[in-house]
Amino acid sequence: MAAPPSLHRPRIDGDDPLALGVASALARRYDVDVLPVRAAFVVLTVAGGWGAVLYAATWPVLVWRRPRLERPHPSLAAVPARRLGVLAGAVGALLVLRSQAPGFHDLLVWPAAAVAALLVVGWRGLGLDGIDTPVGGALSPDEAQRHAVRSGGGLLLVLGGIAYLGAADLPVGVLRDGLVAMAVVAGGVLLVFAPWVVQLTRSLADERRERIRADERAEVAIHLHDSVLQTLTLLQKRADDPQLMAALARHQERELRRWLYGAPEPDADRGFREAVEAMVAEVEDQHLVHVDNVTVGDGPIEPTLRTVIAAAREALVNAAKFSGERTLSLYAELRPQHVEVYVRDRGCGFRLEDVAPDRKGISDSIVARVDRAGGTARVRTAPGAGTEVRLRVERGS
Amino acid sequence: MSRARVVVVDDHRLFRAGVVAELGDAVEVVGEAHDVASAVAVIEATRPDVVLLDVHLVGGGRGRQVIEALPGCPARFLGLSVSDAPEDVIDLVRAGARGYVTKHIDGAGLAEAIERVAAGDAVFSPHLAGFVLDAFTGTGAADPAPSELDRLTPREQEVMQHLARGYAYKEIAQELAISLKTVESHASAVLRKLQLSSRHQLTRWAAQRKLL
Repeated sequence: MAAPPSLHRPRIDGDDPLALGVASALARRYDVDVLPVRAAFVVLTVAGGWGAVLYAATWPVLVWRRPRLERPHPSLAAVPARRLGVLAGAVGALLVLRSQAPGFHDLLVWPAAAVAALLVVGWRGLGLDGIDTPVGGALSPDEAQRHAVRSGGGLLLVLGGIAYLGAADLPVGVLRDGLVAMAVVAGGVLLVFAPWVVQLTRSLADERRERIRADERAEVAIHLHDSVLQTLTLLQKRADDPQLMAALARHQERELRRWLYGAPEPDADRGFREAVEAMVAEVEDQHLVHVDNVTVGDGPIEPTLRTVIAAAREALVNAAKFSGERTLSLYAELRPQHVEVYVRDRGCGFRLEDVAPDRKGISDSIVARVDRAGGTARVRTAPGAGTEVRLRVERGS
Repeated sequence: MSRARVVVVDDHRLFRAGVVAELGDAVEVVGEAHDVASAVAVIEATRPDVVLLDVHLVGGGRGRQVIEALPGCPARFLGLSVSDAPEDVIDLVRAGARGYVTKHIDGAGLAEAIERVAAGDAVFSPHLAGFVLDAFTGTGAADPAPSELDRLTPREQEVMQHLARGYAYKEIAQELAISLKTVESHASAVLRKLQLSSRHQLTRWAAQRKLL
């Protein structure tokens, strides 16, 4: 499928012909949902072939209207009164045909009418167009209820049909005809629904893939910013010290290799406290600052904590580079329900709105990163008043 | 208020000289000592307001021995050490020190801490505040029904958190919209709890923490 995934529900509308496009053209022309029109054609075809005749007869008249891409106003079929009108009209037409035309056996007309009614009412009323939940996503109570109503209704119809057939004590011939007719109706319904279901599934999968890809890209960008870009900056600053430059480059190379080729993190079995201490020591060494590190609570390291520590590291590095202070404060608190980290300096401070949009330290490495972990990052600063970055992430039990 | 009279007890002569120079005219240094015996002698002779006390002294002596050798001494003790090890901090504070600062502190900060202790208030370094939070609210030592003394009130916790984040008393007062006096009384209450708490395991806990 070449179409870009869209956030809107894909729908079979007037510009998406199933056969020759008669039904969709009619639906467009009279501004109703295409589904009832198709349902009516199916029912009429089953009930003596009238639908097919009508379809063939309408096609030459309507075909010239086909190319039109936008719908200028919302479908009137969305208005309940109009939908009920369509339903009443369909039932009325069926009743008239039943009494007048040959080939309309009760056994065919009533199940067909029931299916058509279910489709027409159910399309919106039962929330059939609400099947927009992400694959594997949880249903809201409202959605769950609609699901239940839908499944229950369907089951009731099937059971009712079987009971009806069993109780009717029909001759074998009529029973066979009825079953064939039902099969045809089911086939028709399938034909109407199948493309929509397929399209929906596909676009949901596409959307999900795209989202994962975007997340991965953001991860990579952040990682490169925190590691490679930072090291390059350091290298420029220390250009007069070849030994230090070599050491930094070696360190960065090791780190990048480990990241690229998936070697386990060195702190895999470290606790939170130790991981924070290691991070602090690294920042102190690389940026020649002193960090007053106070950590409360401890526990095994987990992905959320790793994220918070990485964001805190970025905040410390920012403070070391821009605050003008050589002593920074870090307070990390690990509780069963949440983790909180404060990074503070008494330096020059800045105006948040003065940060150039291409400086990614705060927006990406701190805020967006913590955001993705389901937490919040708050930066409090003013010129001359120092800076405090607060990170907080709730922990799942 | 007249300048506080101070005795500096530390095993490094150079460091004592540095402290004295840093403090300058802010306080009056009336004596120095390098081990337990000389410290006790100097304090009894000079009757200082405040004793700056290192955790470890010459000959394996410990700061707390000085405090214990002087029961009923009116001088107030302020721990001063390069060590951030929790058992050192807790040890000294539980022996009766009114506070604890690390040697990273600058002259002005130290002078302020001395004044605060001289006035009877408690002095918390960010680290000490962190230890208190860890010991009293951490998950490690969860008693089924901790007594009043073994708990921090929410306000006390808040004050400790701000101290741990590196805030000064004045800034905390501003931040929490309470008076400086209230902040001081919260800090003193926490210090008292730390010293009187029935948690005998506090010191043991602190010692274990180093092994983690």
